[in-house]
Amino acid sequence: MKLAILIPAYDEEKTIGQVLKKIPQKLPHIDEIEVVVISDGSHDQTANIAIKLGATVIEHDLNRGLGGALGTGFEYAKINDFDYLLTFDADGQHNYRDIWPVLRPIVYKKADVSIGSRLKEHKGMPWHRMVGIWGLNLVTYLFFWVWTTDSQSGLRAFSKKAIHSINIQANRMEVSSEFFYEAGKKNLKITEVSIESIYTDYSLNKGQKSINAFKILAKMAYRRFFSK
Amino acid sequence: MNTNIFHGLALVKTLFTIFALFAWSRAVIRFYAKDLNIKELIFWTLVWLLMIVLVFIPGKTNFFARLLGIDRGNDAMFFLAIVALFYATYRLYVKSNEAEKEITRLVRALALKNVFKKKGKRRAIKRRLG
Repeated sequence: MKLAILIPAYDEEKTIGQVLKKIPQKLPHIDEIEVVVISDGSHDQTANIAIKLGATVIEHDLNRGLGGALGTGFEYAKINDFDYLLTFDADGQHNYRDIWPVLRPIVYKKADVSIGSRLKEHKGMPWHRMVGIWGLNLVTYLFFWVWTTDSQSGLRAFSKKAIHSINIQANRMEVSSEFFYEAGKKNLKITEVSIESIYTDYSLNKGQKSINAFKILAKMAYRRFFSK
Repeated sequence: MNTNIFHGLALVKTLFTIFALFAWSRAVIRFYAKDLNIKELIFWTLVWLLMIVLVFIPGKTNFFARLLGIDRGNDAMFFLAIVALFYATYRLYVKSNEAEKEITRLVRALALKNVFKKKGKRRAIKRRLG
């Protein structure tokens, strides 16, 4: 069974090296792991560092946003017939030890989509970040009829069925919520796994600003009511 | 007849007529530049002519306004103008969104043609624009 680990990255030269070095080379029931770094129009050394560390690197010439990068990753996984797909953050927010727990339900065919949730048990998350996430959880539920404790999670795993049926239209950060919409629409089974979140000053600065919540809201409304 | 309103309206009528003539002249230019055919030119000429005529007939919008349940013709015109603006803005938003998606599709196609793989050989990438 082949696993693709997608790491979308925009100007992450400071952390991509560390992240790549810690990705496990072997996982239970997996024959082949391919780490795919998608550099989303990075201006720094992100792509070069990833190439040197042996990752497969796909480079966008222009920055398209998280949704754009993940869409490209999914396309790559489809074309190359991967069995499983896992998304992982490039900024060091995720713990590589959470990879297997999130992937496990997919491998054991208990679900099509597995979401690593930071809020099932929360420690160390700044309160305003939590409020923002819960707000978006609520909106995700109202718009897309799917409840999740972490609609913005970056650590997710997908089965082959999910890889082929999910259609990503969003370009920017609203893609996180779009996964739930697609899963609901295409009847994919979703499950959640508790994960740890590593908060450093670096990753906090990189995360979503609270004001983006309104922009995301508008885009989610558009996706829900106006697009195909 | 209230002569004050009449004076105010005369200015609006004049300005509008100038604008209408300008817009019509642009249509003529486009015709000579082969952007419009003769049927379209006739159509636009009639449209602007009608607009100028309507602007000069006093009180005709009040009739329509009362149909809509609004008191004055001017109010109805403003209301319609605002609705038209909302619609135009919505269309712009849609177009802008679609353009963004097209750009992403293009960037994606280009990116997938040039994938760097460790083993030095690239797997055959099927040409598919999502």
